[in-house]
Amino acid sequence: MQRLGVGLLAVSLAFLGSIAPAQAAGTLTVWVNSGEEAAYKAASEAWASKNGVTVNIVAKCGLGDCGMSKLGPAGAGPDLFTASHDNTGALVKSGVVTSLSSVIKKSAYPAAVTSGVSFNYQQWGIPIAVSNIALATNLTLVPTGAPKTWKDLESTATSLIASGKASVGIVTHIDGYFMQPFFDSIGGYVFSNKNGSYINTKQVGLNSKALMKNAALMDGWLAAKIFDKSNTYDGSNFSNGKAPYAIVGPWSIDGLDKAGVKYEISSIPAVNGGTARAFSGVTAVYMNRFTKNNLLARKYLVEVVQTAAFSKAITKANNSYPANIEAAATVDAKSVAGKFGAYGALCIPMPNVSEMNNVWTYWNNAFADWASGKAKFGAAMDSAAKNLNTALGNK
Amino acid sequence: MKKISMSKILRYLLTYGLITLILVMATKFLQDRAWFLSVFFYLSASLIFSTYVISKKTPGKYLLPGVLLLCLFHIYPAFYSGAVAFTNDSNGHQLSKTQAIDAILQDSKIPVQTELPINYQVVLKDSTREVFLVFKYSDSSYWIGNSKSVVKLDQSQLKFSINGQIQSVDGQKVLASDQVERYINQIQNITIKMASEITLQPIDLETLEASQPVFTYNASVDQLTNVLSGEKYQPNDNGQMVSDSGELLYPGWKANIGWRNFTSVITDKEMRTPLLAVLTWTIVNAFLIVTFGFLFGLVLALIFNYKHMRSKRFYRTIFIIPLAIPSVLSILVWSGLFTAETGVIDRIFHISTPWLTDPWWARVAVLIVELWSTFPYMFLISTGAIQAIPSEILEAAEIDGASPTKTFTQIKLPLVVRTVAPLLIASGAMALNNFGAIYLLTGGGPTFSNSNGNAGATDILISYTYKLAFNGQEGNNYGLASALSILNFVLVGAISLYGLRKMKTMEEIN
Repeated sequence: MQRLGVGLLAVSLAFLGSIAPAQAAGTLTVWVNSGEEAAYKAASEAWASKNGVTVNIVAKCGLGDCGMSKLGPAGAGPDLFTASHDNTGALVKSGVVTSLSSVIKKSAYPAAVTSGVSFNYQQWGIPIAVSNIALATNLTLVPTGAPKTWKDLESTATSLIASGKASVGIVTHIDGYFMQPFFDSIGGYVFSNKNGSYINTKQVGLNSKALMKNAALMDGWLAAKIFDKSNTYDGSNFSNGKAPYAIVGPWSIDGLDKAGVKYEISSIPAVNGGTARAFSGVTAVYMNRFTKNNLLARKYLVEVVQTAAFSKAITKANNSYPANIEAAATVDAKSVAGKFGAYGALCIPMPNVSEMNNVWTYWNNAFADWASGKAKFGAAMDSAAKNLNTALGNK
Repeated sequence: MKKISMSKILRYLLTYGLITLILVMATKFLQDRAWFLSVFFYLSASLIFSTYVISKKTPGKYLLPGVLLLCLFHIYPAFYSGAVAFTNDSNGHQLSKTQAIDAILQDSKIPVQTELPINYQVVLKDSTREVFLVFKYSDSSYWIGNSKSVVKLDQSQLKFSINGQIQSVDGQKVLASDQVERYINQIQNITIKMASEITLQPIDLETLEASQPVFTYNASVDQLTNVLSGEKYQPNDNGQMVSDSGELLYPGWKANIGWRNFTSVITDKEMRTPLLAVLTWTIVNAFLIVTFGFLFGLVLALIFNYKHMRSKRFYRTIFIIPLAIPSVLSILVWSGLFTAETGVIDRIFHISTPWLTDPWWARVAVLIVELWSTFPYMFLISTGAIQAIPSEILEAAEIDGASPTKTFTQIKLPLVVRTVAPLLIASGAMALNNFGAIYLLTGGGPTFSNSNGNAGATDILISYTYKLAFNGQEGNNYGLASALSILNFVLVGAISLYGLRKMKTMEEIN
């Protein structure tokens, strides 16, 4: 019997020698947002078979950094992964990504897009898609179509609510990301920004002078049910014709189409005319600092990810707008993606500094406090700004 | 020849199958450099082998599986989180120190502009098969080298083809481009250090990128120097390089910070205020659930004990339903019911209660849901305890002329409480750790507007710990979360211990 045990141990030790190293040389592992893996696979197939490389696409990412800050250093990360550009600062400060300055072809992207993946004067991601929220108008309830001005929107919503046809004006999450256009419209901002880069995190605009002056407007809109104080994103209200407007993203389109609702995507009008600017987000591919396939990954980035065809293929699959200029030119302006893109061009890039972690906490809380009636809008934002300044060590 | 029974064969197959499986896993862990797990699995395999195959000692056979699983799933994680609690393991502090300094050096490199791209070709040294890169550098001289060394080549050492490409070096042929790919793994790790601090690194299979460092690291004094500004950076006690003027360099590394995670609970105001509120609610919440749950269950049990009640079985079945439905499901349903205005509860009663958005109403909602899910259990144990009371005692009380109230307060209640006390303490400990209900119903919200890690009005200690560890909004702080989970353990342990002590004295009185 003992002999058998020794034999087993020997077998297992032999097994140690026989297993190939964790990753074969010709394999690239790419983590992408779940639901998009098929598009990535299809778009990489030709390159993979031409070069004799296996491109292993895994649906592992959602919001955030795919857990890379923990998995990367532990050696459990992929070679490449996708993330939204606002994670750039945090990823760089965690030291889990490699600079791609020598890979990125800057001229292929609009300046606002490249600035999104820039941090500390280096480029860290290869942009694929631009996505932003936009206004959806229920055409059954509002046959005249998308509102041209804020007044238009406000009067349509209030009259529909007054007549009992609608229960709420705009279906939206009441948090920083979704409310940013309205926040921008009355003069608020997160950090002062210059051409899309947010270097000065000392200047917090959550309680800017303009915002404090106009804060009562927001309170009025909440009271008038233009925003829903229960703060639950009830998309069925919009698709059932109980709300004329909704804030939607490219990710909402499939659901709207399935629900069979007639809608129109448009930009969001600002109170004083012009456009209320939402945050635009860039989906980009980042490279794991601890990848064992540095050169192969770079080759893949240059020959596949950076091409217009790739940007086009991925964005087509998820209704977002291509980051690549050449690919964007081919998008039909009348299509849903085209309309998102047209508004996106007017939007401002979401800040990518790691300080945003703190911002989201205080900012979202302030919105929640306001919606629940705990504080007036001005007071909520003022205290959020003070807390944020303390947390960031400003002043 | 001995007859071999089917069951014996099956037993051998199972035992050896299991042992082989564990050995294979141990080997896997060894490859992944997970030393502890690897050693543990090898040890487990040998213990299983000796206990089930060699030795005939029976008690070991019953004890071993439990002990091994206990070690793997309880003792190891406990010690691990204990160790993490003394580090600053958090976002931005995930790397080891060498990795972090390496990252700082790499990321700050400035590309050096060269007139032409530096193309390279690959040569293999005949004897060692070592990979060398041959390239032309700025002053039109040719060089050969890899990470270890680089030398200038004499024109006579080189042989060119007609189109000006290098053909061979020292008689050693350069690799054709289709062969180069085979050595991609070696090539990608090459960093050639030229004079004046300039380094060359391949960025694809043809080109080298020249770059200049901004920082230099002096390992002997553990100091980074900014070459451009001359500023010096030294490690601070929080795993980061910091200059004299207080400028921090990122990324930082995982460092040992002693008791700071524990003391920050008291010294950091952003931590202390929410934690105090969370702690209070944790205890109050557990106390209220157990008290109300027990009282409710007891009253129901007393009603059911009434002889003349009809269709007992029907009601009993109904009351057990909350126990039978998976709590994940029922709590999610509850959270839907509690939605303000559009939720079922508000619609039925024509009220507009901010159930989940107002701190006090959210607490009420949590209590209602938890009460709903605990009373069936309390009802069951109370029923059992009441029925266990010997009927002679009750009859004797009746003969002595005790009123029903007196019988209840003087006889039934003390006897019931004595029986169920240990169970109540266990329920209390469970309620202190009732993560699921809080997480699914309110997510700990509504959040306090000013707190580290987004603590909320209905957060209990364990859900707040979870938020600190995995919330991702304030960044993940595993170190602090581990410290809090230890505090949570101490709290639950202390309360349970106190309860058990109390119970013992109670038993002595009886």
